[in-house]
Amino acid sequence: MRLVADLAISETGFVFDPSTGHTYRLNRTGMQIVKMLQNDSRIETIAENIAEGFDIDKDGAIEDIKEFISLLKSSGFKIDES
Amino acid sequence: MNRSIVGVTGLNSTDSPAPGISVMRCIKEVRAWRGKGIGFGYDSLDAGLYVKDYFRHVYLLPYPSEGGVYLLKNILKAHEKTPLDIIIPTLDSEIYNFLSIEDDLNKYSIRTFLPTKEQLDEASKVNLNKLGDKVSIPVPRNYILTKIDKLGIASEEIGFPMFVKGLFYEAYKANNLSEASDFIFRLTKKWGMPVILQEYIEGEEYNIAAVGDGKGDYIGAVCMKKLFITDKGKAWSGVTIRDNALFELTERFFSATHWRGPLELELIKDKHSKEYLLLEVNPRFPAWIYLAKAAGINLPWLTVKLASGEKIKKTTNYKIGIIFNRYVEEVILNIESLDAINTKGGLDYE
Repeated sequence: MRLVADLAISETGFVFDPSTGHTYRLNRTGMQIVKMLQNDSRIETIAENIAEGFDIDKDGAIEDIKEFISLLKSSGFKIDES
Repeated sequence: MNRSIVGVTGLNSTDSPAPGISVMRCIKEVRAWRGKGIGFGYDSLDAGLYVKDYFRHVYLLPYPSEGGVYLLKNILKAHEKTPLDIIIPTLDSEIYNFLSIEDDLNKYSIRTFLPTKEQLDEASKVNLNKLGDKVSIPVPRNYILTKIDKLGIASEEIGFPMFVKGLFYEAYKANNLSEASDFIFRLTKKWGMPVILQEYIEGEEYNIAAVGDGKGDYIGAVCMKKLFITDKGKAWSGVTIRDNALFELTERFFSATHWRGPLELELIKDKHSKEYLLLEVNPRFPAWIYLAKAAGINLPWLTVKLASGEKIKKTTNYKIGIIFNRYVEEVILNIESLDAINTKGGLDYE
């Protein structure tokens, strides 16, 4: 699964989409998910990473990630799910 | 060219600022340039007339409604005192007059780099539908209103809300017939008929500043997304962006029109279809042109070079994420300066 967007993300979570001029703010978890999606990662892999880093269970993380991905889609981002 | 004397028009700096001051700011910041900036205003309170950092001499011009003959007379008067090499007009309403005196200016070795009359006609707001077809860029529905009694039919065709636009300047969003009627009276009082009624498209606004080479291509283009828009629809803040779809439509525009000189394409990205629609073509630099220079493409300076006959390599490489955020500053002048502008028609700062 890959986020098809050439986003500029600062260390503080400020995101700039150079193709639309839109800006966003991400928290640490959001940043981690977006960065992994930019590198074409599977949801399970992202969930393992999040679960480990934030000390939560993997199944709960998968649900949260899916919700976050649908938020990205509804914000106009293209997610390549192939 | 590095010693060229460059004249720029459009020096008012109201809430709908003219581009002249920004154009000269771009040129003045060219390190190699050792020339002079000459400012041409239309009103003695045009703030740019008093910006000494940018202009060494400033002059008043007769209003565009006076026609080309008086424009030429006044430019040549200034030319006698400060021999001009190039002049860059920056107001929509004066471009036709400049075209009518282009040959005369050439005789005095004053160069311009302007579109042809045909190109200017094509880009007029009243011809937007035809232009959209020609350049293969969709446009919102437009109705050219020449008589107020057609407003009923027009509003049925366009629907509400709609934009009511003056031929050269100003646009207002009308939500119903009564508002539309008020705006039409306001605009015709100032600019006359026709008035353009344009379909309201929900979306975000994007502008492109570019310079055409007159041969079917452009020498530089910068895309900007408006971040803050005033109640007059002017971008008060914006950010440089890069969307290939915008560059593709820019290529199509220049390829189809062979546009020569500066321009601004005003577009809106439809919230639902995500498609760009062409709202307007402005036949001059926008007031935000300094952003293009700040991002890496100095379009006014490239225009100076083109007008001087230099061959320019096309450039589209500029920094993304560069923001302009406009502020207003008062220029302080003494009463003698105002007196000189009004009675002598000009001021010298050297």
